[in-house]
Amino acid sequence: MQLRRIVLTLVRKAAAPMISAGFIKRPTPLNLRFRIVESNTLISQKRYSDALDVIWELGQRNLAYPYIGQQIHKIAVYAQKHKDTEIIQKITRDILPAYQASSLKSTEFNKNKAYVCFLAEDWSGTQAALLTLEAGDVNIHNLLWDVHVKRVQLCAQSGEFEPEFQYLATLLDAQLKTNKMRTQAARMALSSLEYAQQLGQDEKTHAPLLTPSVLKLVSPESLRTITPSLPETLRSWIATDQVPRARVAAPSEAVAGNSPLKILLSSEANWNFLKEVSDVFEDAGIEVRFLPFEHIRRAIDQANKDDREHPTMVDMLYASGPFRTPQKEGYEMLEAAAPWATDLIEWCDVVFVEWWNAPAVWCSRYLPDDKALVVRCHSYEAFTTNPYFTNMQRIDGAIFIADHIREVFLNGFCEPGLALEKTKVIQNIRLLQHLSLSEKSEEAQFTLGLMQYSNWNKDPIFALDILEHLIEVDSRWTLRLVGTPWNATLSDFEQAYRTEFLAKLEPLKQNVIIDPFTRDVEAWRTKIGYILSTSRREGSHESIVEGMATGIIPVLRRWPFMKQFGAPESMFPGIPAFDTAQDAAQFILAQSQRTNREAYRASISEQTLKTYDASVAGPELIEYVQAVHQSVHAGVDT
Amino acid sequence: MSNTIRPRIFVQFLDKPSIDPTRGDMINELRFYKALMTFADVYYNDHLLLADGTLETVPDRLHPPSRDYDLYYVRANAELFKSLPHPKVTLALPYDAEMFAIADALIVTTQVWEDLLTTQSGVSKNNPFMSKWYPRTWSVSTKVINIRQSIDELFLRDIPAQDRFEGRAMTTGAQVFGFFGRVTEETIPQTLMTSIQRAQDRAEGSRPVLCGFAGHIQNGAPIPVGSLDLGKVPYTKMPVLLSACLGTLGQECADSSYLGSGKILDSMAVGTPVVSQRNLVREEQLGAEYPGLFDTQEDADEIVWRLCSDPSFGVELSDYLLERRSMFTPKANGAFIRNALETAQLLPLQENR
Repeated sequence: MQLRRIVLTLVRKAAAPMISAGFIKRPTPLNLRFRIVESNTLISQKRYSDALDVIWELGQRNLAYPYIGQQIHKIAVYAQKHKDTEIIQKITRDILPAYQASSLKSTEFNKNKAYVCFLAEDWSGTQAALLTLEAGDVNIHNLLWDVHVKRVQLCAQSGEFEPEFQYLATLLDAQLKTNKMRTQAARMALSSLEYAQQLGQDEKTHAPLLTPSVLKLVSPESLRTITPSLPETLRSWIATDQVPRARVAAPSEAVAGNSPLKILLSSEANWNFLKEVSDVFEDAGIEVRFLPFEHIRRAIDQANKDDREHPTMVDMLYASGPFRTPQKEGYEMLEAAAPWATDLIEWCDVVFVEWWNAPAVWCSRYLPDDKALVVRCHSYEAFTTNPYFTNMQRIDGAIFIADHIREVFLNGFCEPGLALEKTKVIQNIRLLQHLSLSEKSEEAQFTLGLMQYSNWNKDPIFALDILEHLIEVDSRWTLRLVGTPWNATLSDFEQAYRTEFLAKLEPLKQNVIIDPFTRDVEAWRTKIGYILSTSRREGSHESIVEGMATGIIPVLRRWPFMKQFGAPESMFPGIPAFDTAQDAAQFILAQSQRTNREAYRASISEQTLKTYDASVAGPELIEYVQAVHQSVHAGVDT
Repeated sequence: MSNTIRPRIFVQFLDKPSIDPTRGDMINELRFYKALMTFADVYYNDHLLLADGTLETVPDRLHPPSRDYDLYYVRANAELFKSLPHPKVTLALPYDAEMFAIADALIVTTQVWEDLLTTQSGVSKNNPFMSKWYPRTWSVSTKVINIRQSIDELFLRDIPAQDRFEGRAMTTGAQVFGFFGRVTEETIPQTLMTSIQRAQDRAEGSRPVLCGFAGHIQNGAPIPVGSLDLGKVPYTKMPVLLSACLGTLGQECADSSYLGSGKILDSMAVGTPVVSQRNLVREEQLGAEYPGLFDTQEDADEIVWRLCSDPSFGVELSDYLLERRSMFTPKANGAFIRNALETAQLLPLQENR
C-alpha cells in the first residue's frame, strides 16, 4: 500500500509539467465524477444554485480541474431555460474573478476559464482563453462560435463590425474555417452593408435606403459615403471579389455569324417586363431560353441540406473574400445540383439577367468566362445591397431603364464600381401602339388621374394639394384615384400617412372619386385629362408613359428624392416638372386654357410613341446586346 | 322562367368549420360542391357556399344544421354524420363501418370504384388499393353512386399572353413533361421516367427534354438526375404551368387505378397531352381510344418521343382532350350527379319539385 502511494506520487510529479503544457489530460478525480453526478441530479431537480455550489466547491480547490467549466456552463444553460437569472449573477460575482485573477496556463484551466468568461459575457476573456486551446475540440469550437455570434448580435446594434470580421480572419489564420463561418461571414457582410446604408438613421430594415427616413437623406454625396464606411476587412474582401473575366479568345459561332445569337433570359421569379424583351429578340431571329433562378436557388439549398459541406445560396451570394466559393467550384456545384441549368448556360452565348438582384450577383460570380453577361436594372435594385456583392469586373453590359437610376447605382457602389462605359440607358420595352390617341369623355377636361395611389411613396396628399388649388379657381375640377386600396397590414409609418391622407381628403370629398382596382385601365383613362406623377421616387413611372400615349397631359412633380439625380427630366425630357403643388396647379390651369387642346394632345401621343415605344427601344436593345457579345470575344470594351 | 325550387344540400368535410380552397385535400371537395351548385344551393357547415368557393359568412366553429336540407353529405366526420337526419350520403373512403351502415348511399368518383364495391367480394387481400384503404374484410350493403370528378372552372379560362410567357419561362423553354402532386416512390411513373431518359438521349442537340416535378417531393423519392424541381406551385398558377408543359405524366400507383385523377382532368382542361399507363380508370376519364395511353415500355417510349419530335401528334392529343373536357365541366358533371341522385331517390325528381 505504501509502495503504491509512492509510485503514484512519483507519476503525478512526472506528469505535472506535461499536464500544464496541455500534452496530456489531467486524470479525472473520482471525487469530481461523483460531484458531477450529484450536480446533474440537482439540475434534474431544478436546484441550480445547489448544483453550482457542489461544482464550485471543487473548483475553488483547483481551478484547473477538468470539466468544471463545462459543468458550470451546463448548469447555467438549464437555469436560463427555466428563467433562473441568479446563476449568471453568481458566476459573475463569485467565479469569474477567481479565473480572471489566476495566472494558471494549463489547457484545462483555459477551457474552464473560457466557459466562465463566456457565461459572464467577458468576450475578450473568452476569446483569449479559447485561442490558446487546440482546434480539434468540438465543444470548444462550438463555444468559440457562440461567443462570436453573441458579439455579432451586439455589433448589429452598434455598427462596430470590424472587430468581428478581424475575428473571423483570426479563426481563418488558426485554420478553423467551417461551414458555419462561411454562413456567418455572409450574414455579417449583409448586416454591415445594411447598417452602412442606414446613413446614420435607426431604421433597421432589409432595404434601408428605401425606408422613408433614410430615403430622405439619399443624395450622390451620401451614397458615396457608404463604401468607405464599411468595415475595413469587408472592404478588402469585396475588393478581392472583383475578379476580371478571363480573356476569351475563341469566337463563338454566333460571333462568326454562323448561327443565330443564343440568349438565356434569367430572373428570380418576376418575369413582368421580359415578355416584350423576349419578343423583340425572337422577332430578330435570336434564340431565347430561360433560366428561372428560383429553381436554381431551390436546387442549391437542397444540395446543402443533403450535404452541409455545400454552401447555401446565401453563402454563394454574400460570402466574400476568403469565404467566397471559388468560381469553378460554384459552377460545378450547380452542375451537380441542377444539370439542366448548366446545360442551358452551355447552350447560350449571352446571359441576360433581369433585375439587379440575386441572379445578377450569382452570374457575376460563377458564370463561365466565355459567356457574356448583361444585367438590366429597373429601379429598386439600385437601392439594395446586391450591387456590393456583384463582381462588377465580370459584368459585360449593364442596362438601366432610366438615367437617374444609373446615377443612383453608380454613386452607391463606387469602389471600384461599375465602369460607366459598360452601362447604357435603354427605355423599358413597351408596346404602346395599341394605346394611341384615344377619345376622351367630356369630364376629362377637368379631371386629374393618379394610379396606384395608396402609399406614402406615391404621395396622394400632393395630388390633393393640387386639387385644392384648382378648386379655388373652378369647382368642376375632380381627382380620380384608381388602384388597390390601402394595404390591410400597414406599417405604423404608412398608417400615419394614411390617416393624414384621409383627413386631407375629408373636405375635398365632393371632388374626389376613388375607383377600385381595374384591369380595364384604357376605359379609365378615357375619363382622365391630366395624369399625375406625384411620387417621391420613381424609376420610369410606366402609368405616365402609357397615359401620355393616349394623349393625356402629364403633370410631373419633381420627384423629391430623385431630383438630385436628374429626374424626372432625364426620363421625360422636354416635359415640365414642378416642386410645389401650386406650380403644378398653375400649369394645369394654363393647359386648360389652351385653344389648340386636341392638337396638343395629339402631339403628346405622337411624341410618346416616337420616344418610348418598343419600336425605338427594341432595336437599341438588340444592337447593344450584340455589341456586348462581340466585345467579349474580341476582348475589347463595349 | 322556371319556377323550379333548387334543392338545398348540406355538405361537410372533416371537422373544418370553413373552406380553404388552396389546401390539396379541399380542392377536390370544392370541385364536387361546385358541380352540386349547378343545380342546388349548397351549404357548407350550414353556411351558403358562393360561386367563388367562399362562404357567405365565415364560421369559426361547426354548426349543426339550422334548417331542413334535401340531402346531407359528410366526409370523414362520423360523429356529425350519425347525428344528421336522412337522406345522407358519405364518400366511400376512408372505410367506416358505422358510417357505411347508416348511409343512404356511398359516393365514389369512378365507375371502376363503384364496380369494385358493388360486384366484388368483401376481401381486400389481393387488391393493393383495397388493402390500403379498407379492412381485410368489408361489406357494402347500401347504394353506391358515382359522382365522377369535375374540372375546376379555373382551368377552363383563357390564359393571358403574359401568363403563357411566364409558364414558358418557368419551364425554361425546354420540352417539359410535368408530374404534379405528391412525389413519392409509389407515385412516380417509372416507365415514363425511362421513356423520358430515352427521349433525352435521342433529342441531343435539339430542344432539351426535361421532366418537371411540382409539389411536395418526398425525401429519397427516385427523381431522375437532371429533373426540374418546379417547387410548390400555387393552385391558381397551375393552369399556366400545365399549359406550358409538352405533356403531363399520369401516376402509377394503386390509388390511381381506382380513384381517378383530378390532375388528369386539369391537363385535359388546358389541352396538354397526358401520357399514362392504360388502366380502367384512365380509360374511363380519357377514353379507351385516347392515343396517349400505353401498355408497354415500348409504347410509352413511342408516345413520349412522338410528342417531342412531331408537333402534329401533340396537337392531335390536345384537340382530343379539349373535345372530351366538355364531359367533365361543372355544368355537365352537375347534370350527371343530379341524375344519379334522382335515380337513387336521394333527391326528388326535378319535375316533382
